[in-house]
Amino acid sequence: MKRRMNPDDRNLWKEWDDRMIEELAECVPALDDAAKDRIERLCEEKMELRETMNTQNTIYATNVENITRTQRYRPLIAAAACLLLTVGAAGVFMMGTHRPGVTPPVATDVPTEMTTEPTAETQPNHSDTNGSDIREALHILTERAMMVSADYPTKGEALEGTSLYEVDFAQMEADGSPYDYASFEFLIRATFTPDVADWVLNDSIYKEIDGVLYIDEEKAAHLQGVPVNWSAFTVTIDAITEMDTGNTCTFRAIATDDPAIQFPDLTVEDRTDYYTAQQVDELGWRLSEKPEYLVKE
Amino acid sequence: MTDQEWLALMHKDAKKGRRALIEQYGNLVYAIVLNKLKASASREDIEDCVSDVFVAVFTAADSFSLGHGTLKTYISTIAKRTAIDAWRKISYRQNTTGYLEEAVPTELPSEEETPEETVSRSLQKQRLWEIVRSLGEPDTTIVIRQYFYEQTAREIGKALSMTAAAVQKRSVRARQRIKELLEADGYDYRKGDAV
Repeated sequence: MKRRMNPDDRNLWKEWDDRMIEELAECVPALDDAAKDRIERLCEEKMELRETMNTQNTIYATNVENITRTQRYRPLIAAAACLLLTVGAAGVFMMGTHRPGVTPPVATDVPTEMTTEPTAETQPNHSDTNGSDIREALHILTERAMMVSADYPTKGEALEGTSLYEVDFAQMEADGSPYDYASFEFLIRATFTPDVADWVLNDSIYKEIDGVLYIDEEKAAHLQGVPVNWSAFTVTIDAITEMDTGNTCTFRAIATDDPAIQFPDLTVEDRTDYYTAQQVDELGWRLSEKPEYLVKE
Repeated sequence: MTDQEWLALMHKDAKKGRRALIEQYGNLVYAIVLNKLKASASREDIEDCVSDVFVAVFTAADSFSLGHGTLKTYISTIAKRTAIDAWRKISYRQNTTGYLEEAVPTELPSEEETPEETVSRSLQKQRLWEIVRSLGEPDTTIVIRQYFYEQTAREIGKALSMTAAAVQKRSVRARQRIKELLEADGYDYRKGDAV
């Protein structure tokens, strides 16, 4: 366990008890200029890293605040919706009871469109349908990601009080499973605003400890609860689960409304190879954080 | 440079302040870290740990109040603690199951050791250090570099502008001299204990 290094801790300022080491270091200095340069460079890198992490933590805290703020209004919205429904139902009931002899229309036919599944050519534009499609897809892919994490774990890693599962990318790639992960991340990127997607992907679910990537299973399970601002943009996704046993992954996603979304060209169909580095950049994935298999130079 | 001067420099020009601290205390921190880690760590690990020490000091520089003691004692304690943390991390990485006390000698006595033995060991350590210092240059430097910094004869020769063979020869003579002086003190080096 790492001990605290608080300058106010008086124990840190007590007289150093091993004089011999001190005398020895004075007698024969071990560091030459090159070694001091190396150490100074390491210090600079670590200081920069600390500053970056502090900035990221601030962004994370802001995102969490934004998300929790929207959650505060949920009961109000639900109450308003209930009130509206109650008033509407009462109105309909009153209308029905005050017009004797008029019977409400009965549905006699079921539209055939309802049974047609969306394809790459058909692009549904209703935001409700899109929302439910995305939610459904999100649910499927979340489950799949969790299955992946369950299939390739170094089971039993309990770090920092959470259940983490090490992701063996080499094994995933060998089994043809990386597309599960790839399409999962793709969907998150396409669905959420960039800052929320960053939070979900980098801070919430995945954790890198000593160079090993872990999936936090508990947090992945809670992904469904992350609110999405559906009215801000419309995303159409279809055929996302079209994966055969080879190297083909077919999915299609189109961002339509919001120009701020960093996915101007999301249509990727029938890809038989990996993403190129340029495509990864265009999709807004940061090179340092994507799995290696997403890049093919 | 005094502690106050260093703090003033840090506030004026942090980069220069950082370099100045490394210049002033780099060797001390390196020796402390090396003393804890040399049994298990590579040179890169040791330099990494040394940089961790300085980063901890730089980070805390804004909240320093030097009334508690000197910067030197503060840095030394940070170095010792950071080195022990690094030792734990490296041991975990290497699947070492031993305890720190088994691999690295510390001030703590073992369970079997009596207080008298502890004092005796400390005195022997002190006496050995006095003898090493009394050897005179370049023998003192050769012995320290060879047995504390664990440098090779070639590395020592390069640092002292001598051939590796000359370093080796001087090292043999120095050890012989140390043995004679220890025996004159009544120390039986074959048993590893005072007689």
